[in-house]
Amino acid sequence: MSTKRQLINEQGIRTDGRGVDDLRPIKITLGYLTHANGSVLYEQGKNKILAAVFGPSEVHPKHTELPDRAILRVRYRMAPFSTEERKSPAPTRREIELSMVIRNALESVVLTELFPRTVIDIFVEVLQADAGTRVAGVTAAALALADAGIPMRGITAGCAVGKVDGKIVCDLNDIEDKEGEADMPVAYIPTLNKISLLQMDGLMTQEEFKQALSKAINSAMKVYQLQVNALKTKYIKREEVKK
Amino acid sequence: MSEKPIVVPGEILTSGYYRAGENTIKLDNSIIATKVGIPQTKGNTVRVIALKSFYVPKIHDLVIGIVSEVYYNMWKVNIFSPYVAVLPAVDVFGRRFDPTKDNTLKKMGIGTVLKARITLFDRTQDPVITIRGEGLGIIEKGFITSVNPSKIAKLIGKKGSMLQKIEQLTDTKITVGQNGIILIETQSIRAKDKVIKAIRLIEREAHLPDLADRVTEILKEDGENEHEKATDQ
Repeated sequence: MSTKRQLINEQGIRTDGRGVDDLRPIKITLGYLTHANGSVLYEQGKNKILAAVFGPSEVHPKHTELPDRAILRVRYRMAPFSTEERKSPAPTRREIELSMVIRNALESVVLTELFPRTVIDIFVEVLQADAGTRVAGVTAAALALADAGIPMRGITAGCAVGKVDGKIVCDLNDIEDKEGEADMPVAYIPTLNKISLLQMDGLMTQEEFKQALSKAINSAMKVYQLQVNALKTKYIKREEVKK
Repeated sequence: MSEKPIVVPGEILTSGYYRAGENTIKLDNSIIATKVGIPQTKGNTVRVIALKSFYVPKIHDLVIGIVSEVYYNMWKVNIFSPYVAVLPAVDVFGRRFDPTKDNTLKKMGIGTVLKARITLFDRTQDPVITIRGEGLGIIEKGFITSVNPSKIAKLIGKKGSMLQKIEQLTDTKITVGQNGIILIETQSIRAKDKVIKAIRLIEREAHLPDLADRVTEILKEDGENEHEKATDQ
């Protein structure tokens, strides 16, 4: 086995120049698509994720509709050009699972009971992947839902944390994700103070887990602030343009 | 900048003895917003005027829809809402409707545009519409455009003032469906374009102050240009 490379130096600086608690730069472009009811282009470091929402609309096939609430249909896909090597465009087991994970993370915030017998379609397209796409997908999908005017209890914000070189770090990049000791994506609803997604890959002690979870919540709060700003400034910007 | 703050889903608007109005819910004694919009308090009710929304049918609403499916005893009409409306054949042919003699397809094919009113709707059944009533029926001429349903109140204005202003300044007749579909009746394509321009302005800037002035400005501005063009020729 090859010797492990150092991912955090003595000064606590990571491979991309960030500190252990720093997030990658985030850019949110709301209303990126004209035809979708709600859409967003979410960029987090090298991650580029396009989320679009349609609906609520009539359900097809009819037998999948629910008499008491709307169904959420999430499609998470990675573009063939999103990874370093070409990814087969066929849906993989991972993509199907992540679609379900994102759906579960969003179901707790969308007021589906207001629109029985309908469907809300959410498309999460990963255009460029650089680790942490599931939480970035949840973040983007929540923004697209709010942009589409779908009633929600709150906005879900996500961020991954992990253990790299024995340290708990926030918002892992691709190398840290692949070579680190553990990776834990967390989606959090700040206004409800609830966690809607928590997965973990790798090993952590109980203490490390507690530290990681609190760091994940802090990071999600930072992401949430950016989400709120993006939603609010979408409408204020227009006035500035006019002036 | 607009004085009115914009709230996002999940934001706490107030707590205590208040009632949750439109686009809000009550959660643990707090009223929280469920859509991006501008909060408003009237009496003890708090509501949020959504900046983007979609049409949810309500009984007695006037809607403009397009026939999407034809059956032997009814039509399915797209009213641009999560639910597809049903227009029973009895409503069109009268009580003596006989499926063996009356042909629904000959009466109205797919693509027919209708001005209708919602007669029935609840959580368990799709909206039922009628085209019997004053001003209702098949639309045979005019131009159709759409606006986000959340902007309809602003488009109509206080007691219909905004709509009247647009109609007067462009010499058109405008019918606004509650579902956001708008019928513009005019002979002039230029007038139609002016109306659409005004509608787009309202859609874009409905939440900002002095909307009426800006609409008048844009309509008059175009009129002047039109006049200039006419004199040039």
